[in-house]
This record gives sequence, C-alpha cells and structure tokens, in this order.
Amino acid sequence: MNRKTFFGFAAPSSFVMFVLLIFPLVYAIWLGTNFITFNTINEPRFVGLENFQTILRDPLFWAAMRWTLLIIAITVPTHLFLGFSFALLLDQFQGRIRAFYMAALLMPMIVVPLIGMIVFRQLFDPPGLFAYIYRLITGGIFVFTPLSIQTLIVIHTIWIYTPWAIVLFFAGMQSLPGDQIDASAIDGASRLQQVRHIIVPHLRALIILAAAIGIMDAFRLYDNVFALTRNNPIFGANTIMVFNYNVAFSVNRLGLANATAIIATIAIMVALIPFLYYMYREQIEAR
Amino acid sequence: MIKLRYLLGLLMIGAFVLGACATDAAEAPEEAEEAAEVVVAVDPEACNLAAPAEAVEINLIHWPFASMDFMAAEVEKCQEVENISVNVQALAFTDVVDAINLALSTGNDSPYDIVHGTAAEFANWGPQGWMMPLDDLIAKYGDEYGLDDISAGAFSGATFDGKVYGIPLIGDSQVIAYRTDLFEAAGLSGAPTTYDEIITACEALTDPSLDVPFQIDFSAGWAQEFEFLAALRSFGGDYVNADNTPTFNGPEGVAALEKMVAVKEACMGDAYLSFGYIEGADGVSNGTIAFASHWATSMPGMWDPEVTDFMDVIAFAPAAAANPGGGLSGTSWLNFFFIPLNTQNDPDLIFRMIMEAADLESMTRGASLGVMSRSSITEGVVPNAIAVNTTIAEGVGAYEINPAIPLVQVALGEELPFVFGGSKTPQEALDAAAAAYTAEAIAQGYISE
Repeated sequence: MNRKTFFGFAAPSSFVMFVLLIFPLVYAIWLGTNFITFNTINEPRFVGLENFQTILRDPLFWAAMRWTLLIIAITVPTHLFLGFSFALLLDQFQGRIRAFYMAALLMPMIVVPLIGMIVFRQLFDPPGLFAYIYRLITGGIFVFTPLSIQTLIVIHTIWIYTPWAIVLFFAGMQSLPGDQIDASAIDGASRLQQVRHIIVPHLRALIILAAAIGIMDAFRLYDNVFALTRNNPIFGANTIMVFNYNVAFSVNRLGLANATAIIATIAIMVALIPFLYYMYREQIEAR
Repeated sequence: MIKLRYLLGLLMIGAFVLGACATDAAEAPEEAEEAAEVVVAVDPEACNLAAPAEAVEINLIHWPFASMDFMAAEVEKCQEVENISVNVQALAFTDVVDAINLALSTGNDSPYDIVHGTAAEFANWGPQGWMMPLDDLIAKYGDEYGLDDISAGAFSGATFDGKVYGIPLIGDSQVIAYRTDLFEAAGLSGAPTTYDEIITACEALTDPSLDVPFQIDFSAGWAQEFEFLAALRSFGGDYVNADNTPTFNGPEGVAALEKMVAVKEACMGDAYLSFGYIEGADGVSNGTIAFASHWATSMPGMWDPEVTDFMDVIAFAPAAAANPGGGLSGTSWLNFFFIPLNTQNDPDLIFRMIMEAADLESMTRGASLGVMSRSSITEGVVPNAIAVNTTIAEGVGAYEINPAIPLVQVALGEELPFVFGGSKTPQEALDAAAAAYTAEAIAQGYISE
C-alpha cells in the first residue's frame, strides 16, 4: 500500500480520534493552567502550573489517591479471580442450564451502577433487610462506620465488575482446543494442572486485558461511592473522581478540577505501563 | 435471496413509518394555524393561556418533593394548549444546582426556561446576573393573579439590588414532628422548645421499639452545615462579616457545635450516620422514631394513612432553639421559580405559565401537600403549616444573599463531620474551616488580601 493510500484510509479515524481524544486532552491541560470558576468562566486567568501544585500539595487529594489505589489492589484481582472461577464452572454446563446460570451471573451488568448502589445502601439503612437481620442477631442498629462503608464499596465494586470478567474469560475458553484438555487427561493431569498449564496460558492475553480495563474502571469509580457515602468526608471513602467532582462543583474551581483530571489521567497511564508493555511485547513476539 | 427479502421488508417498513410521520408533520402547521385563533376557555384546573402563534418548548428543572412536583405538574398542564410543549426535569438537588451552574455560567442561551431554586442558590445566581428581574411582569400581572397575597418578606429571598427575580411558591423550614402518645407515656408535657429539652426528652423516651428516640439530620457534612447555621444564629453568631471575613469560628460557633454534639450523643449515638432526613421521616411514620426535627416538605407521609398507621398521634411543633432565649433553630426557606436571563422563549408567556402554578386556585389545591406562599390560604392546609410559619417568623431567617456563602458551606461541610466523629474539637474544626474558606475566598476575590 503506498503512503497516499494509507493516509487516505487512516484520515477519517485519525480525525475522529483528534476531535474526541487529542483536542479535549490538550484543551483540558490548557484549562488546568488557568484560574476559572463558574463565575469567571468567560474570563480565565493564566496561572501556569499553580493549579497542579495546589492539587499535589492537597492532603485530601493524596487521601483520595491512596483509597483509590487500595480499591484497585483489592477489587481487580478479586473480580478477575471470581470471573475466571465462574467462567470455569459455566464451561462445565451445557444447554439451558448454562444459559440460566449465565443470565443469573450477568444480572449485575444490567443494573445501572447508581441504582444498584442506592438499593444496596437501602439494604443497610434502618428499615432495610440486612439491617433487620443484623438487629435480630445482635439486638442493635447497624451503624455506618468508615470501615463498613469502605467494605460495602469494595463489595459493590466487585459485584458490578465480575460479570464482565466472566463474559471475557468464558468467551476465551470457547476458543481453547478441546483435544489439548483431552490429551492432558489421558496423560494423567489433574483438573488443577489443566487449569494451570493449559487454560491460564491460553487466556493470558485476556487476563492482562481484563486487568487493564479493571484498573481503568476502578479509577473512574464515582456514582456508587457518592451514593453510598452521601459525600460525607468522615468515611474517608472519597475516590479520586469524587474528589475531582468536589473541586469542580462544591468549590467551583474549574481550572483546579481540570488539573486534577490531568493528574489522575497521568496516574492511570503510569498504572497501565506494565500491562501496555506486556501487550506490546506479545505483539512483537507474534510477528 | 432471503437476506434481500429481509432488506426489502425493512425498507418497506421504514418507508411506511416515514410516510406516517411526514403526514403528521404536514398536518401540524394547519392545526397550529387553527389553534392560534382559539382562546382556551377559563377552567380553574386547566392551563388558561391562549395558544402562541408558533410552537414553543418550555424546559423546567426542579428537585422533587411532593409540593414541588405539584407545582411542576401545574406548569406542565400547559402542554394541553396548542403549540406549547413542556419538558420537566426532576433531578436530585445537587444535580439541579450543578446543571444550572453549567448551563448559565457561560452566558450562552439558556437551555432552561423555568428554574427552581431557594434563597441559598439565589445567593450565587442573583449577584452573577443569571436570572431575569421580574418587576415589570409582576407589575403587569400582579392584579390579575393577586400577587399582593404573597408577602414582601416572601419575595425578599429572591430580591437583589432592589429587584425581584423569583416567584415564591412553597415555604419550608425545620419543624419537629413528635408522637403525642409516646410523649404522654414518658411523662413529657409537650414538644421540646430548646435543645436542652430535646436531650431531656431523649433520656425519658426509652421505649424498646424505638430505633432512636430523636432524629435530626447529621448524616452528612452538608446536612450538618444547614443545622449549624440554625444553631449558630440562635446563639447570636453568623457566618461572615460585612467584608466576608469569617466569624463562624467564634465563641458562638463553638457553643452551637457543642450543643449539637450533645444532642447527637444523647439521642442518636453512633447511629446518627444512618439517619438522614428521609430515614428520619420514615422512622416517625413507621413508629421507630419518637420525634424528629427536619424539613417540613419531607413530612407528607406523616399524615397519609397509606404511609403511616400513626397519623392520629403525630403532632407538629416549631423548631427548637439551640440557645434558650435565642431564635428558633430553623432557617427560612422559600422555593421559587426563576426565569433565566438568557431564555430563548417569550418571558411574558413563561411568566404566565409560572402563574398557572402560583395562582390562588392551584395553591389552594396544593395546600394539602406543602405550605404555600399565599397568606390567604388558611383552609385545607398541611398539618404542619402553623409550625412552619412559626419557625419562619421566629427562627433565624434565611441564608444571606452573598456569593461567598457557598464557600463557607463547603468549608464547613468538610470539617464538621470530624467534630461529630470525635476526632476534632469544635474549635479545631471551625478554625480549619475558617482557614480553608479564607484561602478560597481570597483566591476567588471575595476577601481582599
């Protein structure tokens, strides 16, 4: 293909990428270098890197970053493990039973995350089902504490992201040649050995992809955290996106919020470097 | 061949649908021309407006509660008039404020024609010039709609620089809802009038069926901030000086916070985080809370036999005073409809549509849902109307119309929770809030350096 033809084919998607990705990113960086509020939105004042310095000196930013990273460290491996386990179990079934279990396991994907969290919280509110069970067992009222709120956030995050991992890994297992499993069984391999030496290597690329997407999703946590905590700082459960929201819409500092978004984007990219490098190596080796 | 048949089938269906739509569109202009000549007959429960010559789409945004939903529905009835369509967006309170900030801050055409707000939001909107002054329209239509039935005090929450910007619709304030049977059984003479009496009542109400004896919304920073202002002013304090420097971290602020914490310890304990105003209202309605202090507009379930079995033994009283001898710890809230300055539709038409909700007939019908702003409505009112009006009259008043106040609210919302959680003293938290507020107010030009 000559260069002219190549650019001709690449131009439309490049244009779309520029409009939807590159331009907003550059514009956000520029906005982050200005002092802007809702009241001065038509009169931005250039302040250079001051917004970025302000955010990096803010202890609330680092608290939100630590909590977000903790959520990632707990929820991503957990939902990958659960997704892989459920996919393995699903692979054992056939026909309608498989369809039934698949539908049941994918239900969390259908529920809007915010609605799911509101209902989730209501289970633990004073008139809620779990609060009632708690009262029956202990005789006391279930009380929201920082630990209970943070635990519920982790549980809910795992609940909403596990179905996506199930779908991904189940689809990957369908492409696994059955004769490899059969041959290993003839050679005396146990089920665990089959999983470890055949299935996991086959799904390695998908596992890396799922981990990368899981990290990005966990970084973006906002609506379910906001609904559960009601933006109460005492729970120490504000993620980086909730912090970003507060900067933009509570303090009304739009320039500062843009700076926060840029810093968060850089943090996500840093977190994804190992995964991107692995994918790059895989592609090079495949050639 | 099969795929071709499917494609042809889809094309035929699409052509049929397009043809039907085109037919409707072709007929619409003729209908509109006919409608422009018809004057809608006067029907008290309908929208009594003449159809505009051209189609208009009116967008209304509000946060929902029973009486406000009614007001929005009264405006939405104007969809029955030819050429008028009404889109009503009911969003959570914070989402409404965010949407309006985003839409109006740029000065571009407003996507909204009718905006719901209170004096607290107008404190920012008014000085920014985002809303339309309504004095001319009030003068033009005041007699027709009897607007002198609404007091000047009610209009004051939407008045800035001598101009009126909003139509007051529904009054709100903190009031106390209490179970008369439980109070009698505990030997209590009546509703508490001070925070000290609230504490005494909590100690006396030991019925094991109660989750907590008393509920007040301390569940989140923004809720604590509302109550803090009410308590602070009861002790004679306020948020800022004339130059916007903070005063809330003075001795009055410390006294107010100490009293609030004492109420929380005596009445709710660690469960205070579980009881927001919705849970509190539900608790009184279902009999698991003996008395509560919060927004009157969240209480309709307490006199609805389909919601509560206790409506005959639930009574209402004005808010208690944090400081004995001080003002009642209830802020004055009125809910307004505003017209954004940059609306693209006819302000005269929009104003008249607002009047369809604010007229005497509509407010009389809505009186069973909330406290209406018209003083002539005295019958069929909500059971807590007297309590609301007493709190408004003898309470600590409304938020100051000052764009610096939202920064105070944010700063307090970030620090007050740590006082209730026990990790900071009142003075520490208030000083930290004052420092954060001052830094931000200087950055945004509200305090001179």
